[in-house]
Amino acid sequence: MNELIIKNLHVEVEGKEILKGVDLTVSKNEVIALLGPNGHGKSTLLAAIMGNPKYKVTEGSITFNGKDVLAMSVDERSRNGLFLAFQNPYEIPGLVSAEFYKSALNARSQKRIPLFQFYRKLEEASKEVKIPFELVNRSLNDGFSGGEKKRNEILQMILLNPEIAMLDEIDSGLDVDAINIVSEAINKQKEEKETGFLVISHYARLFDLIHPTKTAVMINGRIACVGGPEIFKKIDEFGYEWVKKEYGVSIEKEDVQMNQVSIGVCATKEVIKNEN
Amino acid sequence: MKINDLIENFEFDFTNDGEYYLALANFDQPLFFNVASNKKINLIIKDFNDKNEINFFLQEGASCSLKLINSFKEKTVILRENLAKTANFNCFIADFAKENLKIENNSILLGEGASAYFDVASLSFDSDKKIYDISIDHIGQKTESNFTFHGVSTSTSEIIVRGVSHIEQDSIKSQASQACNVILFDKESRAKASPTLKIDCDDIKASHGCAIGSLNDNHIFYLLSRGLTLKEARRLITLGYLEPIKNHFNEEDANYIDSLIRKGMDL
Repeated sequence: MNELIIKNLHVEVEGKEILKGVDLTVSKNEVIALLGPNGHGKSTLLAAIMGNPKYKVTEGSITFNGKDVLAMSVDERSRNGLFLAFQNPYEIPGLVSAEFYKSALNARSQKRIPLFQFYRKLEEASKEVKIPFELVNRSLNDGFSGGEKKRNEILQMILLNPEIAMLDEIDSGLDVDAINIVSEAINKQKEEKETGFLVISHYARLFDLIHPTKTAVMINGRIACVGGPEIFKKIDEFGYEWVKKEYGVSIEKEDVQMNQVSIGVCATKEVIKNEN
Repeated sequence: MKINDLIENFEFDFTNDGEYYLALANFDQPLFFNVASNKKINLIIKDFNDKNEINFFLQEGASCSLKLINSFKEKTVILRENLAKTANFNCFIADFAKENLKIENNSILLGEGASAYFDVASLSFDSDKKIYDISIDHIGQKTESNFTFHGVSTSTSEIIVRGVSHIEQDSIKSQASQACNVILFDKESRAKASPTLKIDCDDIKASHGCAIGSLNDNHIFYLLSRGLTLKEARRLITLGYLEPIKNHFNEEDANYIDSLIRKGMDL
């Protein structure tokens, strides 16, 4: 048990198929490194597992502890033990962080958490990720640096104590010290709580610190290969060309379309009088 | 200090600094308040009649913070202010009544350096209609105004916000800004906003902005991914939107506003 099993998963976004039959299993106490070129479906996989409504599952199954994840709402997936650390955590002005965390903890408990107990947990988690405690009284992620936002994701993971944690490029934008802090928190969560991890990153440094038990490479919306830690070391050294040669996989070029962007400006008039 | 019994012929002079409370339900005629030079007052009103009108005259250097908490009864409130040199008028409105409301305001920034600031949080329910007409005239030089509105329209209610900042010809180096944000909580909720700048002078700064829309789907997903139900997620985001108005009130009134918001959001 304590397995997240993904079978033949097909997912489309705005009518375009991104995942084309993904098979992957994540178990408790396991760390899977998920690599792959940009635009080949890694973040889509995590978002689909968490139930982002923008991602439509057209075929396949996801089960967790024997339960059908696709039949669950997003919040049910979270309360059943799944966690997603966002690649770009959202800022929500006005929503006090501490208020949010308390609500999240109360959502997964029959009894409301006593205030003293809550603040003690929050203080311990803040210390672990080295976020100043006073930030919890600010609006969620509002005015946080990039590194603080990512560490805030780990803080939430510590508080919510999931069975499976999915981390989407948790190391992007982090300096060396912050990567060490995040890695220590991940290792502690794995060792003490037996949380399983599915971790997306492009850089070997994080993986050197969290010691994945398995490496999966996603190419063209499918898992191209699964193996041990030696795979991410090879990719770090030789790039994805190595996967191409070793496994005979051709890498389709990412079809990047320009987003339609419309920028409007409300009337702003500032006229500085010429004193001359 | 309650001033109801001190008002004579519908007039009152504020000659001392302090915090004052007024129950408008007792008055059905326009009131005229004078704030003496360099005096600083807070005036809190929680109780209204069907229609109330208050006229403020702020002398040089005077400062008045008017704090309105609307919690019940359909009403119209008319505010007028005339500000002398360096006088300052702040108006904070916490509107969480399950009733129709109309607020009309006209501020005249007559003296040099006079300023007026409006900060409004409004929650509308059922088929209520809430109308805010806030106009500010800049006449003196170096005058400043700011109008900020945060509203949430639920069910089939409607919020209408009309802000007019008029900078007259000789009001050089003046500044005016307006920002109006309304969340449409339900599919049939409605809002109209028209922030208007009338500028008759070149050497000024002015800006206005308006955003009306439903709750951000990405924010909702983020909260859901932490285990909150949809109802809880929408409630928390909306609370965060409206609660900052409490910062302008004392602890007792802030707690009262908090209870109104939570009651309104069904907590």
